[in-house]
Amino acid sequence: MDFEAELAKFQPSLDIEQAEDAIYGNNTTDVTDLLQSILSGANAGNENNAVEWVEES
Amino acid sequence: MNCPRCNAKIAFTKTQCFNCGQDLSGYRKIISISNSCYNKGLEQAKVRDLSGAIFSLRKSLEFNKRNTDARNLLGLIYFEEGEIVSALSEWVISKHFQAENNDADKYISMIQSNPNRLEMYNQTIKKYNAALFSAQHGDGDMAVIQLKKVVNLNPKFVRANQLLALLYMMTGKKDNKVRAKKLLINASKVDVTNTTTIRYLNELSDIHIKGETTEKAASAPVRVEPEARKVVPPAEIPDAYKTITPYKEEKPSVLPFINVIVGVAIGMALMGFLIVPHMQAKKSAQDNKDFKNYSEQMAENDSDVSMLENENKNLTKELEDLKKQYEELEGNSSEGGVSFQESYDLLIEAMQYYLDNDKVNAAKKLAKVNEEALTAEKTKKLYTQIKEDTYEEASNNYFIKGRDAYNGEGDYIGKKDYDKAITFLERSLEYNPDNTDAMYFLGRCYQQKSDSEKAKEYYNTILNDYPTSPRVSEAQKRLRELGE
Repeated sequence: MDFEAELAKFQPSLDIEQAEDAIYGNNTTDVTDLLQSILSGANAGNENNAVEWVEES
Repeated sequence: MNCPRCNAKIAFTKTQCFNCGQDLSGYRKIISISNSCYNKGLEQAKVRDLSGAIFSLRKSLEFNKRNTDARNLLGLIYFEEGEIVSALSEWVISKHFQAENNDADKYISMIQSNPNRLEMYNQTIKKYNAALFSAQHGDGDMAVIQLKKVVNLNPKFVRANQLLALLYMMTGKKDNKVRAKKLLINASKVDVTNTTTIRYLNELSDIHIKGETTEKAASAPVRVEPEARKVVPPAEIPDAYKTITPYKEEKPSVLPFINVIVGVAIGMALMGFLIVPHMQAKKSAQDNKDFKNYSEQMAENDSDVSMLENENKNLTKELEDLKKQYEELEGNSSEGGVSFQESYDLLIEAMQYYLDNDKVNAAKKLAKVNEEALTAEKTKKLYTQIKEDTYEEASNNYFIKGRDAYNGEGDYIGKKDYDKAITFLERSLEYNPDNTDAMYFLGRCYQQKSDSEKAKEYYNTILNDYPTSPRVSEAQKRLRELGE
């Protein structure tokens, strides 16, 4: 086992002070959002406009 | 559910929005997939396949981020693994999507209601981060120390257990490997399918610890066969939400409280059987000692009191004697008579009259002197000498006065007074008891007063005691007059 590589895999845990950032940064786009975007685009007759969303990091 | 196009509230069974006419079959499919993932995550969580549950619940949220049950359960799993901030984040987001009737309220208030506990979690995380930093910068020993504290504070913190186990494993020492394996087994009890834990355990497969067989069995990933349930296409479930059962948090163990109570009971019993009797015996011995000292002190005091009483009695008696002597000297004696001082004063006065040739007054003064008070021999002699020289004359003087009073002569001329005569004559006898003249006239006075008996008494005294007296013939004559 490559211990150094294993050690590098560990990430710091979020502490309380970082909770706010974690909450506001959790702006995920789910499939329902995609569907709504598709539906709203179809209804507007503008199928060429691509729906943009932010990938979950 | 809400229509994705017009956001109108629609029953899950509807395939078309009654408001905008939107076809909802696709949307229903997405919701169903999300719910299915949640159900799978719930089943995995029940068998402590927390890694699998996290994967399933995240998948569920990717399909429907508003699935609050999935998000709440994900938060609980994070909380179980020691990821407090991640858990709180999920619950806060859940609260954002569903403000009412949300279990996240309960979880958040559970954390916030105990600031000490929240602080403890925060300290745990900070220590873990500090330990990770130390470990990644080559200070493994410091990291081990920090992580020991972290694991002690929160034994379910999976990542801390894994990191500490890794650091132990890096040392290559056998005892450290044993420690690492114990930590990993502990971590595997929290999350049985954590791939990191399983990988590290495999590395330590050659390490055997006491009771490993049972531990191994317990730590081995539990592969629970799915229950033979009827698989229903999610889209055809009438109401997918009804199939979701809320996740129940494990009840806190009461064992620590029982241990505390038992410990307190044992402590009280020890105090009752060992310490209290010893204290009572000590107190009793001290009381006995005090009582003995008190008794001795009392006896000593009684002795002193008795001695003082006797002394007081003696002193009182002595005082009374002295007082008596003083009173005698001062002339206040209750026995009467003239005091020592007065006797001497009277004697001096008598002597003064005697020197002035006033024998009657000298005799009067001498008559008042207390002869016993005259202790000095020379004084007594002087007293006797003056007495012999003055008493006879004083007796004659009183006799003459008595006779004058009887006869009505001298100072009493023309007024006979027998009583006055008796007084003078008796005083004459006081100075000279042998004065037969005074006796004769006393007899005469009583005869004149018709007191024959007393008169006879004086006449007979002259006849019997003084037969040579010139008054004998007269006394006989008077007795004959009285019939004798």
